[in-house]
Amino acid sequence: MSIGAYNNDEPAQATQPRVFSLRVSYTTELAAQLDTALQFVVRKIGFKPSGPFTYSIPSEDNLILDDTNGNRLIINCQKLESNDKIKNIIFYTDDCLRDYHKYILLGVEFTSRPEYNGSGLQVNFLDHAGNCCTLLEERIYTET
Amino acid sequence: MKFLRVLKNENQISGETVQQAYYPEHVSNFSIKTVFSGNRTFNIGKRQLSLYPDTFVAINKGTTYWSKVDSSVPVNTLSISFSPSFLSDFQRLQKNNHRYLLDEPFQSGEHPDFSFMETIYPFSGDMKYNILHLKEHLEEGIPNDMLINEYLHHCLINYYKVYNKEVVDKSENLNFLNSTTKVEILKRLTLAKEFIISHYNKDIELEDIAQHACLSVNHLLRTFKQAYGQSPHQYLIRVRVDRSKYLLKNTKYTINEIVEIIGFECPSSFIRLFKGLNKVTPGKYRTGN
Repeated sequence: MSIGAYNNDEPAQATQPRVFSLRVSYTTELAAQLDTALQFVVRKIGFKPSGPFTYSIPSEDNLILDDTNGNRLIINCQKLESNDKIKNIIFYTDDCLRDYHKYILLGVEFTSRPEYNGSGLQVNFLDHAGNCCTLLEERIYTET
Repeated sequence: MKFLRVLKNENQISGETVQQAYYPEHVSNFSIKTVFSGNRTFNIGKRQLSLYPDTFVAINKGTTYWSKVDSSVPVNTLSISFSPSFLSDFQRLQKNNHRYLLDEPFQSGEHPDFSFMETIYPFSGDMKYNILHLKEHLEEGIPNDMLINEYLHHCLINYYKVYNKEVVDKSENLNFLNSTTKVEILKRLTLAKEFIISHYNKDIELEDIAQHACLSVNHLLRTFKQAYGQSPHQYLIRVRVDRSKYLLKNTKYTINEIVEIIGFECPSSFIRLFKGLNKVTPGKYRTGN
């Protein structure tokens, strides 16, 4: 399953350059069971389908999900034959502690406590398939 | 908007927007206070600290103080008071590893007293982000104590970082072998810094700063430069320019009015200084171009 995460406020084609380079707009999540992966995204981390939705979607179709923070997730499914290892998936938030707390109540399993780095505040969790995910609140430290 | 939130663990957060207010003398737990607009004056003993939106003040448990707001613009204030048990738990969590905390889950005996340097600190970076998030949730009236305590825990993490940067690191910069001398000099330099921040828009002389800090002028000049890497005059200019940046971004005052507010005499010298420090003119800084 391929996931492209876009912010609604930004044009899809011409994104503004950012101070920090950690922002990615496209990443790959590997899932053995597509329906289980979608259940995790929808039921655990709260993304809502923008149209008619079932937990099994045919490959080659795009699926659009929105979260409560205004982030949009475009899911493009492709069947892979290889057994590649887990990638790191970054979910962007405008308030890491709020979403950390929300996800804990939804039963998400975190592998660390929220911690600070040069990009902002982040916390790591595992999804249903054991993929490593990061919830990241980017912060700009150059303002007065 | 006015709110007061008292948590089950006795942490307490209050906020309000006022133009004139008097908060009579009282004693509180360890607390962090800030303003998001205008300014508020705190009187701790003979010291007077003026708080602006780019600063916060930390007050120790047991300190007696009073404060007032007397402003031409609405002053949005926020005060966070930490219960001794919360502070004590936080300290234990920072100091000890998980195994120890599992073996000794509860603090035995009285909560130890923690004493920090009571002064004005810069309100920026993670400290500001977290407090702004917390304020937003409190104004929305979120019911969850657990989430508020998470923000308060991070307030303390960030306060420790600021404290290390502003107090511990600065004292290490001082060229004195005796640690007691270092601490005493830093305390007096802190008085000098507070005086500059609180009177930044007035015509202050080096002698005034030295007298307030109980240091001779030469001693002040030498040690201030050691600790903060700049002279008191350069520090004063920096405070004025930083305050002008806030006013440029958050008010509709003209540049000439801002120049007057921050205590500069000549707009052209202000513009030259501003450009020298920020590589952009005040007008362009305001519009973001």
